[in-house]
Amino acid sequence: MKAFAYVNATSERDAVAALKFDGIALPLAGGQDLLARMKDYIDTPERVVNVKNALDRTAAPTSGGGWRIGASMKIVDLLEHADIGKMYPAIIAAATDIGTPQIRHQGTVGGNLNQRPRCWYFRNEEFVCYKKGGSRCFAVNGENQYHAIFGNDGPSHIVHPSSLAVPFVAYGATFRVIGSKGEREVAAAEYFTMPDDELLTHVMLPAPGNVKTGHYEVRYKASHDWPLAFTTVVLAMNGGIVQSGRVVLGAVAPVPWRSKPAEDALAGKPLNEATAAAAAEAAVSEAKPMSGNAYKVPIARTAVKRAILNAAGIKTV
Amino acid sequence: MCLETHGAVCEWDGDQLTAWVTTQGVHQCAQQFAQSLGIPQSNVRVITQYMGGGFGSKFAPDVQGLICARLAKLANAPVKLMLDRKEEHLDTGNRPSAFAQIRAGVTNDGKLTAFDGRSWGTGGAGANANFPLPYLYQFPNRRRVHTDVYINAGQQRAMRAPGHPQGCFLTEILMDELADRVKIDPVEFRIKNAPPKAPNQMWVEYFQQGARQFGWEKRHPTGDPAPGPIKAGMGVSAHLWGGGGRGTQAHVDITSDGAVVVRCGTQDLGTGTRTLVTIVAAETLGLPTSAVKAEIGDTNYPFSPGSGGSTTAASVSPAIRITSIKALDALFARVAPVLGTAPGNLVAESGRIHVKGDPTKGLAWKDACKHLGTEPITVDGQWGEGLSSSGTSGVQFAEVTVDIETGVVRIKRILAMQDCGLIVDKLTAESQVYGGIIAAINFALFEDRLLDRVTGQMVNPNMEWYLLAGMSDIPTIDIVLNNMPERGVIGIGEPPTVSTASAIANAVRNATGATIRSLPLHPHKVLAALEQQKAGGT
Ligand SMILES: Cc1cc2nc3c(=O)[nH]c(=O)nc-3n(C[C@H](O)[C@H](O)[C@H](O)COP(=O)(O)OP(=O)(O)OC[C@H]3O[C@@H](n4cnc5c(N)ncnc54)[C@H](O)[C@@H]3O)c2cc1C
Ligand code: SF4
Repeated sequence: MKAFAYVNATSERDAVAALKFDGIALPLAGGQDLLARMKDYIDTPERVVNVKNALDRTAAPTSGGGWRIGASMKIVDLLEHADIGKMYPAIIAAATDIGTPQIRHQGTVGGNLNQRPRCWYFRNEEFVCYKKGGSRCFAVNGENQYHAIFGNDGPSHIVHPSSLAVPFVAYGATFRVIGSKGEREVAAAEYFTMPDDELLTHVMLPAPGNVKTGHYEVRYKASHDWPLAFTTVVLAMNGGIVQSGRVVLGAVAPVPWRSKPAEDALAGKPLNEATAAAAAEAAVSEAKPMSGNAYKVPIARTAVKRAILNAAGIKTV
Repeated sequence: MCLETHGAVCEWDGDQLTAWVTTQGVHQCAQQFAQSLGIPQSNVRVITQYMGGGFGSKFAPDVQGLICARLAKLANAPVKLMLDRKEEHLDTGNRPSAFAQIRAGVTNDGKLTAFDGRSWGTGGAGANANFPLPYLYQFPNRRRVHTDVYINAGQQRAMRAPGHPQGCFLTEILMDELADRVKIDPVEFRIKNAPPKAPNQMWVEYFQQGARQFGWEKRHPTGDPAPGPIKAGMGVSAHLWGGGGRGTQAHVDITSDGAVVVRCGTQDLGTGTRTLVTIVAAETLGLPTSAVKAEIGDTNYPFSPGSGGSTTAASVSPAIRITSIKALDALFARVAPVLGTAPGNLVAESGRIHVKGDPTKGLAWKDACKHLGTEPITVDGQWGEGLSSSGTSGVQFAEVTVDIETGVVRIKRILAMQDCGLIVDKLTAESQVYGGIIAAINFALFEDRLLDRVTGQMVNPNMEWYLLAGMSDIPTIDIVLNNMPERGVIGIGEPPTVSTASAIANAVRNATGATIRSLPLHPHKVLAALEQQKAGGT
């Protein structure tokens, strides 16, 4: 690891000020991602700003009937939050299998949402790809079995690593961010394509309303591993009929992948096995796998189907 | 894959090198330090008190050990040099790959007739990658041509049961396909074609006994007919190993305070060799294990060979037994006059030395040793024939579930039938079986060195993408150890790791009806095989 200066910020304002630096400064939360990158010489910041003590660690109800979650909240505290669990069960389902107990005890909501790609070319010092200022993506002609099957127009073909991002997008969350230009709120779905020069302080969850939610993850190993594909669905119901829904897939695209075809296939339909199968089929209709990851297409289809069945309360496996 | 990476701490005192190395052979390691550094072997002392796994990859000092020694010399200070995880993946060897094309013949009543195989394997640049094939079963006619393929990638190294898991897998999946061809139950088919029963060939008995215990009668024919995406299946596999003992030397001291110290220049890979030394000496001397101090893992102690090929228990136990008997005889000779009897009439048991058949006529161990005065017992001894042998057999059963919509395999339970001659210590023997099976679950499902096809670089030299089973991936493991005291001690480190992957692969085929002739059983292979099956072929 390269030597760096360390700043322990204690307020949002301090943190923003410390990050405004003539050189590379990076925020440090739980460190599960950043420190590993520094040890592997993937990032060599000159200044590291600890934001854990600067940002909110708690969750609180909002006046609109929703919740706001502080960026410094640990994944384990989110996981064990009874009210959030009741109102937003898919968030808990997504948090449950993140990494290992150690990672969930150390990792934070803000760090989880802002973690960098796990692409093995990106994480390997020897490969200087687009993401590291190079001139190509090694995954295209190389080993891409865990890369994207949607949104594959490039330049990068990573899958977004955050498990929490997917249910946040599905519940229609907004993120509060602060930067040298002040604070603002952005839709979760937009956040992941923005330049990352602002600090995320809160996740704002709207009141869910009359919805049914479902979540399903396909994992190769039972723990200490990344999902092959997963899905959150949040369905606004009118009796037994789906009025409208959000279907968001994870581990399949460079961003949490909202599937319009699947959402269209659900709208106006009864919530049953036939609808789930049709929506799942629709979801993968726009898949564009790479040379070595076509197997992820049926896996993604299964994740969508089972997430919908899960929302319907139908036992899947 | 060793959790403790390769490495050493080296320190010089003048021209004397002391190296604390994570090694499976202290003496062998010292010899290679001496050769490579051009110094007399008597100037090198290698110490290995505890180590975090070697599995065949840790005998020599290697480049990192020699660099460590040279740096220590230059720095004139102790130097510690442990490889990091990436270096460990790139520099310390792999189990060589194996690939085969096989044709085989079988009669309608299930007798194997012929094996005709071509095989390839790569051990990196210029290394041998051969393995036993066909494995275990009796093919009356056989032909096999093997070709080593040299590639510009990290060198092969011995890895727990070198060659056997490869040969076992290629043969055992063939056995299940042949059994299906002639419509015979796989256990029955194997019994028809296994070598006849012998002390080192207990397969037929293990197939029968294991099938009963495992509930094999509940196994459905190939392809789980149950509705729904989760399919269950059972599989079986058999294996063999050699083991056997050789040239260990040992030393025993008994002093007038009753203390017993046993010294042996073997090393404990984490298998429990220290425990074994203590147990054998304590039992021989009629003492509790707490009364015996075992000193091992140091080239200052009597020579013992490297710990490879599951030979350590069979080398060390006889040496300790023989040397401890020698020490006890010497003690009897000194104590007999005090008790007014001949040495041959004495026994040592329950912490006392007494006249055979008359426990009242005797002395507590400590009181007996007081008579040694200023002249302790100090004896050397060595391994001898008759207390160990070679050749073990085992059979394993596996039950799995396969999610045919995702290709994910989960292992439900494993049953291992295994022998290793005389079981010196049940706890450590069973530990070897657990460890072997867990390592083989990695071989079956997870471990895969992925080389970038364009640059040849390994893309997963870390524990994030080089997958290893965690607690939640490990099933219930039942072990039946067959104690065969009449055979003496035989090793058990390697045999239990041979069969597991084959039994799992056969269980996956039994569950899905789809044939996957490749490891690890990654979802992409499972899904591809299911697709192929739907299209009507295997
Ligand atoms: C084997 C393994 C398996 C894993 N499996 C999963 C999984 O299944 N799902 C999953 O979601 N994760 C998984 N993880 C990743 C883990 O959850 C994340 O690394 C962790 O959540 C990061 O949180 P942190 O607080 O430690 O972040 P840090 O390492 O502190 O920060 C991560 C990044 O975000 C930036 N950052 C931190 N806080 C902010 C902020 N407030 N605003 C803007 N940028 C910020 C940092 O500069 C850094 O670049 C896995 C990790 C491993 C090693
Ligand atoms: S997908 Fe391509 S560009 Fe993106 S991080 Fe990996 S190698 Fe780099």
